Amino acid sequence: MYFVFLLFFSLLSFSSSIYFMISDYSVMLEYELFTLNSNVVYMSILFDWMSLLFMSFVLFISCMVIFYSDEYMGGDLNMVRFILLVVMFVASMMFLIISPNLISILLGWDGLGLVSYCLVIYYQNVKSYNAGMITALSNRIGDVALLISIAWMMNYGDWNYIFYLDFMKDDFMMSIIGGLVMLAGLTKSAQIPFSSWLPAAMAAPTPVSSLVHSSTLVTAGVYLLIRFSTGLSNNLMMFLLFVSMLTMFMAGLGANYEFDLKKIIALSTLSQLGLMMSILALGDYFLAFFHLLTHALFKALLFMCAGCMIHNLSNTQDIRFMGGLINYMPLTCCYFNVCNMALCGLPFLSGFYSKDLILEVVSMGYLNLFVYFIFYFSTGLTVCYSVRLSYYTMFGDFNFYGVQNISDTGLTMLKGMSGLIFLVVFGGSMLSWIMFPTPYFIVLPFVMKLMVVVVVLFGVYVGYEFSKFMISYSLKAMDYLYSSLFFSSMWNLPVLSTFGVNYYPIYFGGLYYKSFDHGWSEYFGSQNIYNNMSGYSKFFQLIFGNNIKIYLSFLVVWVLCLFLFL
Amino acid sequence: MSLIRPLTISRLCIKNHGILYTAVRNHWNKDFKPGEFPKTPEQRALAAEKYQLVSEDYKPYPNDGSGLGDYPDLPMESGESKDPFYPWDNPELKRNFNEPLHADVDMIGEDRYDVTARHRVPVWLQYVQFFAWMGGAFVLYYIADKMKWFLAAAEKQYPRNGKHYTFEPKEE
Repeated sequence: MYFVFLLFFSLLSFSSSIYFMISDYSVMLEYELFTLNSNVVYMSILFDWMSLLFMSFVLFISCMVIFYSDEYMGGDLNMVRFILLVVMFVASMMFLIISPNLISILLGWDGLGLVSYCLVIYYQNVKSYNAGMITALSNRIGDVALLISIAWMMNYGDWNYIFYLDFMKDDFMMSIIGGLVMLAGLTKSAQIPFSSWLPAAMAAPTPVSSLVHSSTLVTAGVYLLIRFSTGLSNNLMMFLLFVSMLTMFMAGLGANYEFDLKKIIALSTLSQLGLMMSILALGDYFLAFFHLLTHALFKALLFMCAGCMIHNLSNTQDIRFMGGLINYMPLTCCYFNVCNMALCGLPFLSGFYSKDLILEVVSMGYLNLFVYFIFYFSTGLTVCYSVRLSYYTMFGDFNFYGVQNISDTGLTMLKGMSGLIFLVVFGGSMLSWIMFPTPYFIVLPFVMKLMVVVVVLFGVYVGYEFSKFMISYSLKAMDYLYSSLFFSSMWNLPVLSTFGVNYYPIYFGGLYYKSFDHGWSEYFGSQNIYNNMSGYSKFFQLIFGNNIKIYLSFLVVWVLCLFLFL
Repeated sequence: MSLIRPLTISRLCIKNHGILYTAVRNHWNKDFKPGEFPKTPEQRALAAEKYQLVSEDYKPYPNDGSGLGDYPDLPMESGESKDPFYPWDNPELKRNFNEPLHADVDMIGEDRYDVTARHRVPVWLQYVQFFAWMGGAFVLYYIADKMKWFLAAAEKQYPRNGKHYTFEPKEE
């Protein structure tokens, strides 16, 4: 039932977005909630082509994921809870997409954080609990930043940021608001230093990873920054470029060392998010949006294929136990291959249109050489880990148990995936014809045009060399252990942002607890106040004992006071 | 319908007592209070017996005013580092029956910090590696920012910037 509703609304919003795009039309509905002197709190809804297009993609992917999870989570005792959480997630996402107003964005933003926590802790074991904690707390930093920016926006009297962005770009307050919103976007999209939650959140069920951690939740940060991009100052953009570029690089490196299927795909998502943020920081938010949409499609399908493989291999996620799967699950592996190739930017698949265009626009730009190098190197790394993943899962030797039942007979899961494959293949081209009324004018020397192809081919070769896996093969990473440990552990971020950041504060917090809460606060607070009060009340009880001596002495004191003060 | 709902909740409680016990974090009470700091060997022996420890293993916290009294100073062993395959009486806490809890048990459980984890690389070195790498990247970024690279093409002309060329043939 949810599937039908979501599909219907997805098609409706897609057609509306095309109509709005063609006629350059947008609808804003505002309802005034209350007014505080000159500050007005509106509940606003903005329907323009960008929000409708993103909505349609989110609704379509969620309807496919709900259909897919019918079989993937089949037999799960808490199926109703799962579906309701996914629907609540989609509702929060809708709130976020259609809000031109910081307060109503907060509704969606906090809703996303909360529901994603509930989804990550869905399987109730210690690892999921820890993963949920780190997800929720990392997202919470962004929520706090957004709340503070709401407080700062009181200076403008209105929370509809779309009206202020162009005009207030050079204003000091806007730079603070922009910085806070950028912080919120960095946390939600798992950029450095908040990257550790995304691979950890793979403890969630695979349909959740497919919907939440590849296409919707993590792109919410990018979407917010797309909306805010005209209001971000140059220094903020430079910082964003630096951070997102390094995230892209770090995730690409990390994915080459990982052996967990879902973690590789998560790091791939992180790398592409870094790419989206980088091109946004370079000023081209339109291309960032385009890549956001195409990436959502093929990444969601990639996760669904991974889920199929995991499901068939009795919930093993280690790629060293997979191999030769193309012989047993040909259709799933075909979809997996198509998604991987779209991710690498193979010509004329959906990823090509967005990724290649981004690289060409970067090549044409006025950039520093380091940024240029990182962009191309990360592209090569993307290809490298994709080839490595394909080699391990599909083309290598079969590494699983002797007696098994691996097949493509999960028809519900296959149908869910088949809904997306056409968009993965044709979506990029269709979107580029719709979204760009005039194509980008790319003028590059022949060598530079070929650079992408050369980098991709080199990545294929290196990916194959990296992934040779034989009994007699000695892993090159062991020769350079310290650097391998550094690169494979995402530059130590998981340890640093959990143990490193929390242990000493909690330890010193414990000492403060002993000396202040159990010590001086008791002395100045509860215990001593109680002692003093009981002392005073004992004193007054003495007086209330109706002792004649006390009565007479008070009379004398009163007469004395009369003489002194009158 | 409204009659059925209370029944369902009570059935839930009967089936899963844990919900009732763990959902309420009860306040510290006088039974949790440790005894006086043991000064004589006899007091130490009594305290060791109270905490179900062998007297050689029993070592109280130093009497420096932290208020722990005769509570034993147990080695800090995190839940995650304990053997997962040993048949613990209480596998969720990885604890046997009547085994004394550490004073900071809230911090070292399986869902909290792993203080006994032996990191391949010490944490201070991880900090150094991370910040050195980020710092190096920033230095490279800063230096390369001075040496911008661009395609040798003429700058794009906008009328708003004033002077612009119209490429008409030169009038003789």
